[in-house]
Amino acid sequence: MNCDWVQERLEEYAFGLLDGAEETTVSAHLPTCPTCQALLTDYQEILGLLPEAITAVKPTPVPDSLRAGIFTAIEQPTDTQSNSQPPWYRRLLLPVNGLNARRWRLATAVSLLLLLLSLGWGIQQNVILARERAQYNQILEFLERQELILEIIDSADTQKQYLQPVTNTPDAYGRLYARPDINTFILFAANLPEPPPDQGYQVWYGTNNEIEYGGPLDVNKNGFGLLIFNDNESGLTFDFAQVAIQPLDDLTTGSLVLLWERPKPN
Amino acid sequence: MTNWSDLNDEQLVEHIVQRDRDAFGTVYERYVQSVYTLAIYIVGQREAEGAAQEVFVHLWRKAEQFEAQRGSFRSWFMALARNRLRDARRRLNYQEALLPPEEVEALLTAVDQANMRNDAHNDVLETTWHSQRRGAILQALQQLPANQRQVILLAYFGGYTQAAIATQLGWPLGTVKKRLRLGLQKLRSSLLNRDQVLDLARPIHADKEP
Repeated sequence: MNCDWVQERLEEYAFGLLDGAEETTVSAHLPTCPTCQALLTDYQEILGLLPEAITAVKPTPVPDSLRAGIFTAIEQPTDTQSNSQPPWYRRLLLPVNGLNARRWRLATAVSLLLLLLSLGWGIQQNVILARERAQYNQILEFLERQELILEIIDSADTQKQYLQPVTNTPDAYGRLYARPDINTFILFAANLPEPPPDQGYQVWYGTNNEIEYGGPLDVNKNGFGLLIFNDNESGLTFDFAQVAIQPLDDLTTGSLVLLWERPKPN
Repeated sequence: MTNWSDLNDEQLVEHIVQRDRDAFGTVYERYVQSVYTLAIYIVGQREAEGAAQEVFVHLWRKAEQFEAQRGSFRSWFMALARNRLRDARRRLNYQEALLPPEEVEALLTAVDQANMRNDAHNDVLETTWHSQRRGAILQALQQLPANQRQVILLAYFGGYTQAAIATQLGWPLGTVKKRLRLGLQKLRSSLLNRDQVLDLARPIHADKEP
């Protein structure tokens, strides 16, 4: 990949406007090229000054409660796995400002649920399901949507799609569960390598015209992860679902790991 | 006793990594207006406070990820803030950009008029480092052709994709891409020529070529 190609796209990259493949290519080139990196740094410095400049000409009063909210939040204890979240049993109780609190609580709680189920996942699936149900009964009492989860995974109307590996993880796979009458979806993945400390798996879905963020896919030490997410519409109305590995502080870059695509009509 | 306001951003971050709340509070005071303004534009008034809170809490918990040799704290933190806000926007399932055309017009007008106000301000009051930097970036923005300035503000603050900008303004997509590129290139050229802003944005002890 030559610098001319990259530099033609650096401005869009700085704005976060490049599409997946081009963005990944530029990201891969930058650590190898001081010239391109220096140019990007200049662009990022300029963009970093824009909010200050706009604030000067169009100031917006900051709520007095913002500072108090922040300093209260940073006092919350963090678990050892993620410094950005309180333990799951507190996340079930604490509101999450500005986000879909139910989805967040359920997604993180069920992700931890799967940590307890991971020992059985390497055995045959019918045995796994039986063990899962027993463990589900113990843990689901803490979850506010226990019946919904089981209804999605285990009903006659469930639509199941298979996510194929697209990178150097041929053993990884995923399943997407949907029901035509429910706007909650379940995606699980297995045999995923442990991500680097500054990266994580993220779930995206959508159509050719629109991409939606499903949420983070927390993976246990056995490479298993599960996410529950909501959409505005019920049933499998979207055309793809994917799992990507991305920097934790930059969801505009990364690599595709698993993908399901709706077959295109001939 | 440490006078935190005497420390630069990069020095404050080192203390934040050590979980110093006073250092964190100083950074908060320096950046809250910018972050909150950005949040207003990207996630809307209703969600701005919660989203801005999330940005600062993320800074508190991930301050060790800042690497001074890769650029200034400002550029790193504002990029982090914008990414977190755009992430929050996606989780809120916002289908359309939140910045309506009339808001863009108001923003462009404010930028256009800022130069005159800023000169008057500097005539009357101070010529501090911060006002010089703001004046430089504002003047650089004003010197851009209007169509390039419009695309840059829509892309950065409005949450517009280039395709959405093209639709909004009735321009071909290729024209939008070209104006975005040229606009940012001209900002860089203008600020390098002024020999101010890009140096002012960098850490004091950074050793880099402009």
